[in-house]
Amino acid sequence: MNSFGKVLSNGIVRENPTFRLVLGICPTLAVTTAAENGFWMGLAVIFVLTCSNVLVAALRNVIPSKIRIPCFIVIIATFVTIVDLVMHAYMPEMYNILGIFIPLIVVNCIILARAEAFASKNTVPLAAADGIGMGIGFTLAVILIGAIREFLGTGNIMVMGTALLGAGGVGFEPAIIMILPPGAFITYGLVLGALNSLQSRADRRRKGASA
Amino acid sequence: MSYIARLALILGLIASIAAGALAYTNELTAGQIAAQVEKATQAALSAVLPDAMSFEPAADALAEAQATDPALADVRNLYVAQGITGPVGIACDVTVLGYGGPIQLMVGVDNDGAISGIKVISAEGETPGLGAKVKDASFQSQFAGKDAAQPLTLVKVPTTSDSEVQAIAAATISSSAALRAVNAATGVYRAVAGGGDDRLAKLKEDAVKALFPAADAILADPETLATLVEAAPQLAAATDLYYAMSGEQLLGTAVAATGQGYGGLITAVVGFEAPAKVVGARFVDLPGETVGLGSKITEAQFTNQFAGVGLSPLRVTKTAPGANEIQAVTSATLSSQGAVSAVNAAMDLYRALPDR
Repeated sequence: MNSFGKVLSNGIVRENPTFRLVLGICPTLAVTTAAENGFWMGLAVIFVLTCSNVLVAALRNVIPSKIRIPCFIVIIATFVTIVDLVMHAYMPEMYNILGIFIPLIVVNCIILARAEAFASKNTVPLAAADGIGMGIGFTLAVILIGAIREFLGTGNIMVMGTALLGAGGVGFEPAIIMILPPGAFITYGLVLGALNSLQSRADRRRKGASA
Repeated sequence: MSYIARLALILGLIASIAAGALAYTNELTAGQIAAQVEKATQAALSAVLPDAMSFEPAADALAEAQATDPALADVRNLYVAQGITGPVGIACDVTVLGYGGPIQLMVGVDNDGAISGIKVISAEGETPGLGAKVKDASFQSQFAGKDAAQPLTLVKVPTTSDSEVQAIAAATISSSAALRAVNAATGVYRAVAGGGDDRLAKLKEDAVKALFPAADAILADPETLATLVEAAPQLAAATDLYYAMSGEQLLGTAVAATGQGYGGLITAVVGFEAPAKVVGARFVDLPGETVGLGSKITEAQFTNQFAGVGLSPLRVTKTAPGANEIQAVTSATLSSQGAVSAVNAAMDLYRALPDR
């Protein structure tokens, strides 16, 4: 199971879909108006990604290469519709918040990209690991961006209806721009830049150590 | 099998299995989804009319109201709220186009003709922190208690009159969408509430009480009015005659009359003190006047002009008024003229009273 763990952690850190592969940025920017929204969206993506990866890997020798893209899309769309119906029935508040973004998981590039680049070329257990790992990586990324935007944009972070930082927030005047689209780009760009600089510093240290 | 046929078969097979899975999931969840929608509707109904015990849909009444006024099309459902002793009001489920998507809200109107409250059911397209604030209690509570007799207006500064609500800062489009929804609901109320006559009678009586605050009883005298109008049909614009009593003493007389305004009849209630003095005038029903323009005849700045005038017919002027002249509301000359003609009609009836 060493390979399973490696593939799993790959999706979270080394090949994080949001910050390293830069995939699925549309829903990332749109859903991260609050940390909780990012969390629920992330869970839905983990479910869809894992299920679709597993099914694509199971059918990888059956699906002919020429029609692989339509087959992948049918599989992904089916799982997303199931998530949509289940959320509507049993989690109406979250369903209302995520709104149009649940159906848009279908065109989340992460899912199609992993189906094409990994699941169609690997065994079922490894494809599952990739799905879970990439999903967790995406979820952590959107929670991080969502928390930053929500904190700076509203002065507080709400979890399950309770404000994490007390009823009055931290007491500064929130910058509404952070929860509007420009704030999404600004936050994403700055976090990406910070991670890039950490990465290059770590690479230089490793190169220096091996030299 | 040919290559293309094999491709088609595999794709078709995958699609069929997917369709089967979806149909199965749909069947499992459809009932629950319908229940969720119903729960949300019931929660909103109870929020706007908490005294009600049950709500009955009234689709026919709604269709009738919408047939006469297509502007009410935004109201999707009408409910009659039943309390312990009978109907307590109505509620309208309204969906309007907001800033970034539809806004759905429930508006309740109680039997007194006042908005009992509004509840925004969904406003997902509105910007969080801005338009989404229509869901906040601070915005929604503005509507509670407002009179459903006229459409309300939106202002950006703190409100100066009872028919205004304040928009959310930097969220004008979302706020005015919510206002459109509320006005559609009150429009349905006005069309549907057959008790409109009762409401109008109450408004007239309230006006008489406002004109004679020392009165402890208001007596209506429809017989004398009918006799006078029969003898002199030109007095037909007068609709009601009241006496303001304090014990056995007659404090004054009030006459309700109508005049043709800008878009309909204006109902005025004029108070008189013997022998020949006007105590004041109030305008209680002006459905055809433009909100924000003609509707300003209800404001004190206009109505105060009538206090203390004599019984000579009044004229409207746009400049500083002289004797027997009333200055019109700016940009609302026709409404002002309608108001004054209603007052003149009341004066005509008062002058015709036998022993004042």
